[in-house]
Amino acid sequence: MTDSQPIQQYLQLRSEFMGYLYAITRDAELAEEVYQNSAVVVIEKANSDEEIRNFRAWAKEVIRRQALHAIRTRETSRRHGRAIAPELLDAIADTFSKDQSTDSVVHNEATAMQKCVDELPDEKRKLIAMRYESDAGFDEISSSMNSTPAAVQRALSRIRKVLHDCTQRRLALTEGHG
Amino acid sequence: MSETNSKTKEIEALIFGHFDHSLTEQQESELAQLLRKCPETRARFCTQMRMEGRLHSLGRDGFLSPPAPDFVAEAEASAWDNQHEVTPPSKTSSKRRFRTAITSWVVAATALLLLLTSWSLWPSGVSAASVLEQAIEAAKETVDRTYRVTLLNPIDQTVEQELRLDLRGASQFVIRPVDGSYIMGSDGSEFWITRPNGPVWVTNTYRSLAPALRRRIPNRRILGLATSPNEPLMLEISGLMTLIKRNYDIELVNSPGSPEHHVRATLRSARPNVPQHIEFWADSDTGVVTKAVTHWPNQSSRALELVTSEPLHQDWLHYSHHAPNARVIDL
Repeated sequence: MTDSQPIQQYLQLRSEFMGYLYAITRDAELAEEVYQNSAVVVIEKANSDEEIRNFRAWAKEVIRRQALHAIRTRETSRRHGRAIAPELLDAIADTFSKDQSTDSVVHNEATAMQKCVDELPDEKRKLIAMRYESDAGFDEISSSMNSTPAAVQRALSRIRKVLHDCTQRRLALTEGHG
Repeated sequence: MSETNSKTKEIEALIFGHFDHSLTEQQESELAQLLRKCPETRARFCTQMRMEGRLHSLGRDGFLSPPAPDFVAEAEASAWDNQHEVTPPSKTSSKRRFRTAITSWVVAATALLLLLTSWSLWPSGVSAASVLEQAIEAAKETVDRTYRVTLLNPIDQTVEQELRLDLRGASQFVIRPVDGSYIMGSDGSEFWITRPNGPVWVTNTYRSLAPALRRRIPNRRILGLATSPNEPLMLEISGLMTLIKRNYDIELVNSPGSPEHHVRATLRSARPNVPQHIEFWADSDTGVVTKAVTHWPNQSSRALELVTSEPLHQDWLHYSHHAPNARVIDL
């Protein structure tokens, strides 16, 4: 039973890790692959006797290393044209490693954001579904929505902004009640 | 105040641009510098990173699409929910969205399966609409058939994955990839999945199977179709036929002198994770569909081809036949 604890913790951190992985790979498939590969490391670790004092920090490091390894060896960032500048890659990795957000902040943020997603009008949800569910590019989305890639990109940015602001408002409200 | 807003907008533009792969080298360098020096940028980037991760996770699990009551809920409410203990469609919209995801592959597979399962009542020269109505009736017949299922690469149409699908009537099936990585099925009352030397996961509601597996099995990629939000399997024929009836235009496109009927179904309005076109070929004498192909928005396609109509072993649809000594875990 104790064996399952690290992997359960790992699964609970999925969104946080996937966010980082997507930020540095910008490839949903590769991000998922690295996440899965890192899960194997976590399972192996769970079967060893070595103690993990801070699981989240340890798992972040596993993820970070696996991701950098995947990017360097597979060079799949070419799929999206130019690879991310090394200095930005390092800056993101550093930001991810040093992020001090507590578990409760991350959890509350997730809950708030889910509610904000639920509140989006259908049209906006359709758009983010195409982007994040189908992993469709701007060209693909624009052709199915009778729009232009630039307009789709702007619309997605607006939705991100709406979701962010809505999430922050909800968090502030929660803290106010707390 | 406006200067602060302007700076915030600049930071957000860079961050959004990064996630959209639209930054120039100079902008990437600018973002890197900000991440190094500006705590506000770091905090905002972390927040956005988590949001992107959640959006991908929600998308993968089928929670992003808007509710589509005309597309899924009604069909399920009328057919599926009557037969299984499930949450009513009037509950939360996210549950309905999940159903949308759950049923997405079905539209592909089952449209085919349905059509595949039976065609015996098909008279010559029938319209597409009458064919569909007859298929709904015929799908209720208990007939064993085995199909080869292939998932084709969108670029070169090579086979990415191959599976065998055994059907008995409308709601009993066994599906297994040819690599033997798992086997999944339903005897009409329970859905189950097992892997070599692993336990059998059993549930009486299909929709709990995929999410439960997603939660419990981190390396779920090996389960292929079973846990993919794009390709779950559910074989409730009447409900799916209703979906096709409501959402697809169907036409007969027979070739002169062909021994088979060729039917094409076209989705009326675009939706993610749903095939835009479904084609199938049916033997003009027996009505049995011999081949069907689904065409998806990302240019990939999936094909089903009839392999045999030999009767299956009596217990073939039950997990005990495939994993006789395995531990059974109820979900």
